[in-house]
Amino acid sequence: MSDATGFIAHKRTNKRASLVILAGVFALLFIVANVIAGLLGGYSKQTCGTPYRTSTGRVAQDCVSEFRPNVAVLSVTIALVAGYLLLSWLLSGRAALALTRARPADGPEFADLRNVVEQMAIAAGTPMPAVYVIDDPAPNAFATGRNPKHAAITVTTGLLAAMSTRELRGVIAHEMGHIVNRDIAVTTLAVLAVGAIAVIAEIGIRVGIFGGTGRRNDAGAIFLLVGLALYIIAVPAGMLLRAALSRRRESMADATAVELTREPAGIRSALEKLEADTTVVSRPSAATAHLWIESPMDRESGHGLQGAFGRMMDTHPPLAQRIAVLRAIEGLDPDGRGPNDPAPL
Amino acid sequence: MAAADGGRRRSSEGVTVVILIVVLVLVVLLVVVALVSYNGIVRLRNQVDNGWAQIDVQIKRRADLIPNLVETVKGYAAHERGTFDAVVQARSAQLAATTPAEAAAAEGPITAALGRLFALAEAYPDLKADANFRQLQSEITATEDRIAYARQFYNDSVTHYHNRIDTVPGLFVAKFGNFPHRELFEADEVDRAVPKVEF
Repeated sequence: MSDATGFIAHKRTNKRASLVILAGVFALLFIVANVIAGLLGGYSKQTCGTPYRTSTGRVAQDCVSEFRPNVAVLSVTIALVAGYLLLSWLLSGRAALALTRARPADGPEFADLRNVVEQMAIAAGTPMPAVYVIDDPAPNAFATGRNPKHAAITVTTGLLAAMSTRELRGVIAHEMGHIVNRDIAVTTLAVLAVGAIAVIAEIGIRVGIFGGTGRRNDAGAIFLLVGLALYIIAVPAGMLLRAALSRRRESMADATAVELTREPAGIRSALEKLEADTTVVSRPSAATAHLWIESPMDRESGHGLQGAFGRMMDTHPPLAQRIAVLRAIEGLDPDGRGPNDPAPL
Repeated sequence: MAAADGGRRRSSEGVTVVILIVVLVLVVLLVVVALVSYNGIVRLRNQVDNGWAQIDVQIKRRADLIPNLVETVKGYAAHERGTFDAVVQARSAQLAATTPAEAAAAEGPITAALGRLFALAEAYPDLKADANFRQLQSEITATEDRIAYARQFYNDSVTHYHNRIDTVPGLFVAKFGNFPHRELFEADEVDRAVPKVEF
């Protein structure tokens, strides 16, 4: 990747990855929905013989259940799954903005911010994204939108107060990196997948405990087992995958930021300021954690096994590691700090 | 004897079929590679065109702002005729440009002339205080920043496009369409090199 348009090839890879993840999530949900429909009797037809009296004097009836394909049930499951995916896909960007209480950056006090966003959009060859701000003293920023045409960049007022123009440009270029790399689409889908598995696990456990009375005892046990298995294996696996995807994408976005601004100093200095800053966003949410330039969650970095697991679940690579990579490009000591706040360009 | 003959004929027929299938698969593969390569080249050529359009839009925007700026400055420093003329001349030279190289050649004089015009503000405090002047100055400066980033995107796209049509398989595929080399937008100042990033 030797020039700024290298990210366009990466975008195409990401687009394919999105399609694969989407197809996988759809298949998974479709299978689970049909297993549930099947266990609830949607795909079986009972044929019963005439009632008769057993030797003990009770009335009994022999029934045979057989598999019957049912187009109506099949259509309903497809519609439900497709509807769920489509809705979350279309609403994901707006939901993140609403969750974080972002407002449009319209006022004259945000003219510089809009200007920097436009510069970076031009450098990336994409339409200008919408610009939002959050009134929060903690410096942070994130990008949303399923594609560059529906993209938005959101920054906190704390970020605007803390960063010089060059540092702000670095941060915006990082967010632009997420947009042009189509990271948001992939991560949104990964989040959807994890969310869907968790919901299914929950349904399974509930049906298993409360719904499985009487003659469907076996089915209840199966629900409970499937639900528990999903919770124990699939949910953590999904979260690990999501975190790993997110970490890789943060590093990629840092690289794109350098390509767009042509200088590692801006983003590097911005990350150093974020590292030194101890305030955290006042409305943190695990649901939107992967979006931010710096993880908004206040997580103690532990040691030993717990620390290692914590790092695996982190949605961001450690800031020190990201800074070290950028300092190496500049030819600075990777573990040192400064010179901070490069002169405004 | 006759049976053995038939067997030999059948096996030689089998070899022919296998060879035919292999040739067919190779041809299909070749066509697929060519089509994918062709589409990629077209995409890059469109990206170059789009990149040029972005520069052009910003150059026109700056050209639209300049007459207003000159009028405003004239109101305070009417006798600095040489400075105005240089700006107006550089502006028309760039608007007359028809190719990226010509537009790029006009970029140096126009930024230099504008720089001298803005410098007049230091000598005329009233001009410096004029709200209209400050507004125009900040808009023109912002537009020049945009030109710089648009130029960066355009030049990278051109390089990318050239790399594609100058290497195999694009080298051959490009002969089947209209894929000329494009001019870089090179202003006088030295382009900042892209730092290489690896993870």
